[in-house]
Amino acid sequence: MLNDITIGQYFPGNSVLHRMDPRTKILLLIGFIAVLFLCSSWTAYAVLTALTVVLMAVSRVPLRTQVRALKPLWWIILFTFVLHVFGSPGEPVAKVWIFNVTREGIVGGIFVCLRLVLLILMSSLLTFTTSPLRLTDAMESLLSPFKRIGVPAHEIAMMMTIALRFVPTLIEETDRIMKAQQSRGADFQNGNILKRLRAMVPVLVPLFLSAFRRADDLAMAMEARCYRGGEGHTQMRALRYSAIDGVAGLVFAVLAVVLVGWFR
Amino acid sequence: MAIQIESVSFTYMPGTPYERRALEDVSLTIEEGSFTAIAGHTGSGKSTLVQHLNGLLHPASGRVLVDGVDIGSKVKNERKAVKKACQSVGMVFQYPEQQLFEETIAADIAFGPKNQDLPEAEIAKRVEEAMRFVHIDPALKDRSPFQLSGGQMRRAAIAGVLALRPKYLVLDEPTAGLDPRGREQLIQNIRELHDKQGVTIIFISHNMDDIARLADTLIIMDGGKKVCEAAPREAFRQKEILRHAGLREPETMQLMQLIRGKGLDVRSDAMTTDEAVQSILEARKAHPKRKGGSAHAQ
Repeated sequence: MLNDITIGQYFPGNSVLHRMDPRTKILLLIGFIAVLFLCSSWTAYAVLTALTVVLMAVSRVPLRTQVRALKPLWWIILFTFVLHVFGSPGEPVAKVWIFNVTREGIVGGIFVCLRLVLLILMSSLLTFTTSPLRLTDAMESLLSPFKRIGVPAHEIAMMMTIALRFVPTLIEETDRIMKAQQSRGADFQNGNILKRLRAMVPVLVPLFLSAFRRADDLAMAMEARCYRGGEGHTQMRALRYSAIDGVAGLVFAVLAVVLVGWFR
Repeated sequence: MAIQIESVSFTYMPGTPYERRALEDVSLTIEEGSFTAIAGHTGSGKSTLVQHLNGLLHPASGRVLVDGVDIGSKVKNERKAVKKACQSVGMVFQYPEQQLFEETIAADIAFGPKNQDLPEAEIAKRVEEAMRFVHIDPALKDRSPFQLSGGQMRRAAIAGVLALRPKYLVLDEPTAGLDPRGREQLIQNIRELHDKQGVTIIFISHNMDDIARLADTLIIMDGGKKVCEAAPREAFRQKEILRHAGLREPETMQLMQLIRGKGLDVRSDAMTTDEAVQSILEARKAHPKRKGGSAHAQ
């Protein structure tokens, strides 16, 4: 039941997107989001939507899985839309109780929702096509220029790596503990909120205990292998830009300039 | 009465790239009062199989009957019977001490009976009984379970399952990670549970010597399939199956086969230390001149 979590799940593959340097992907994603928020014309959105759809196809990640990334945020999207439809001033087209539905509201709502949907799809595309390890390597590499002003780039990346590494382990462990307590008659599905929260105690206590124990073991193991932080640390698979990154960067730069310059 | 598993198949995470077939058309019957061992390599499906016995997992196809009740049944008026059937199967997971959570040993053991809404007096009685059974002094009941030694913690956790008075008890590698003394005590407990209380035992183990001296039936799993179901002595004879499943005969048996290879006419199917000693003595009586052993018999 806990195995269904898809956010941040990596789908191994060999598409262009998979082979692209993770730093390029992060930078381009930031660029994409910026363009998304700068533009508000139909043309620009048509182009951005087309781009998203093409990349989704290129990634070869099953469509169903990609769309499922929207599921947890479905309510937020709907809520934003409703808020826009009823909350914008302008030419009224209908009236529900004391609220006016305006043309501007509907159009604005569609834009905002499209923005959110494209943002989520593109962001999840990044995590679908990049293994967590490469993602944190890229973070470290991108943050390292800020080391001089005191940003602990290596430590942040290491923390993320460790956290990501232990997500599946902890999920597995939660599953096991839940099953063990279920076998002793614990009931997680029935009862009101308070009762269900209380039912989590027999799961959370052992889970925390084991998380602390694991953290302790890991610290010991790292120390035993002379971990001293990022100073002078080299990588087995160093990140390297390739032709794909150059082409992707160039194409996106042209697209961004054209969209922001002429079709805002 | 018995637990019947009828052509059960199970797949983890179907429909994703992580899809993994864990069980394939497994059928077997566990008779009441039997002592069944399940062995197999890591990932052979043994843990998945036993989780079907009390409804933690439901088969993708096939069915599981506990005392005649189909525990996968969705029929509404059978729900009570299903719950009761599932409750009759106690489940002790690997490293059960990791599921302890209460402030006192007694409270932790009482967790199960409390979930069954038993009266206070009955719960107290069961807690004491369970503690006695696993040889933890009932005077310790108000201590924190985290103050116990590793072996004691495990036995306290098992007591938490015993307090439910299961008719069938499933243990997933109960002795893993224990020191020799903790191991021996636990094995004695399990044996008593079977012999004196009449509890049907199903246990997963990698230790063939434990299986040889405890179990009356051995089930070998290999790649999600049941490849052998026989008395341990029979099963250990099927070397091909054993090798393929990544298992070996009990060490005693290996030793006896070595001795036989050196020329002393001992039984090669002796599984336990007692059998082995007796067979060696008999063989030596039959060949008194080989008194010096086989050290020079290269």
